[in-house]
Amino acid sequence: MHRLHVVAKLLVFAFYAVVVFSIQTPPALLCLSLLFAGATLLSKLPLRGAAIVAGMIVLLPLVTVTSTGQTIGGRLVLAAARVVCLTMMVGLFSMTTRLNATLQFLRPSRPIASMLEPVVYLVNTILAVFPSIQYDLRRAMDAEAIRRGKKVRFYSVGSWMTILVVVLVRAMNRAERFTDTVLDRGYVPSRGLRPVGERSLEWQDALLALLSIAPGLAIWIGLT
Amino acid sequence: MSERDRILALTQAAFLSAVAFTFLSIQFVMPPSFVVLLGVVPAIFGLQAYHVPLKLAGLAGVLVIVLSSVMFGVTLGVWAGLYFVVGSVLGIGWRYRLPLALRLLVTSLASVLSLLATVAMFGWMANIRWQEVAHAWVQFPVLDQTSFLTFLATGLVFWCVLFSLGADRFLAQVLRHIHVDPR
Repeated sequence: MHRLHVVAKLLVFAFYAVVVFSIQTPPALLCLSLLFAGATLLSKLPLRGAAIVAGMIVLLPLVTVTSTGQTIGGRLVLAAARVVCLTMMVGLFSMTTRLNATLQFLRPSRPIASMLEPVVYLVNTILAVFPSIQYDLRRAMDAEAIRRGKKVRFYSVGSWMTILVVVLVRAMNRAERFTDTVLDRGYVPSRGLRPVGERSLEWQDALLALLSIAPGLAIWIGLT
Repeated sequence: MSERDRILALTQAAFLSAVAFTFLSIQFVMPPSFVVLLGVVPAIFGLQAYHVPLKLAGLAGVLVIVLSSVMFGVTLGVWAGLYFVVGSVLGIGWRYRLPLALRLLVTSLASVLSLLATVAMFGWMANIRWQEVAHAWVQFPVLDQTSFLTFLATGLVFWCVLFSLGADRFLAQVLRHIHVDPR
């Protein structure tokens, strides 16, 4: 699972997402839960929420035996089982796929990317530096209070100007340093970010994807 | 424009937007004396419009409005829009070195028009008609326990003074500190 190509993995997970929402019977959901739990353990990943999964594995046969699938309680169990399946599926995907591999696959075409680049850069930088600017403002206000030698409740216009100039100067200086750091780390806007070692989709990936889909298909056809 | 200048312009726009965002976020939770901040946020938008390419300043301003609306609610987003309009007019006035009197006139006009637009927007959001505005403005959810007219009048006067008469000196002080050519 760890080595499966991201495109093949996305196709497999898209298939299982459809399966999770298509199957309606408790035995099918039980098998699917067991399949995901098994895949998680086989991939040597921690099974988060193991107690809930165990609870589902107990409750789903109970619903089947007592034929209470159509009652409110039964429906709740089925809904909860679906949520557990989806959680395990998303967890399996996120823990076995590097984010940059997914982003690389979802990368928009060059003209769209060049249009979006300033937006992405601005939003990221605004949100990243916002807490530090808040901290700077707090510090500048404290410094002004110390300069006056007493607790300031109402800052005068002059004080505000001093505080504002300090914050702005600090922000502009940091913007220059930030730019130099970005450039030193090799980011060139006209070329964008280039990932190292791009792996192409091979026939082994396709085969492994088919093998991964097979149990899901069997559950879908056999138990619904 | 070299690669470095391009990234620098983007980063400066982002930092100035973050400063505007910070002042915007504290404006309505501070004591009433902080009404002076009403002039500060548009001034930062103005500085941005003066300092970086206009398209970029516009984009950064729109992003601040969107982020304010998403993070702090639509009300603050509307105020951010008002400040952005006034700040842009101010920044463009600085940029093209308009005469002081013209700058004062244009900025004041933009302030009044955007204030009216904001009142109309709040009225529309609260489903209040123009005829009812006089009776209803004190009940605006965002202006609870504050004097609406004092709030706006002080802000307007402060904008006029800061933007048009003292703004150049203030800007020169900032730019002297950072030793960069604004163009």
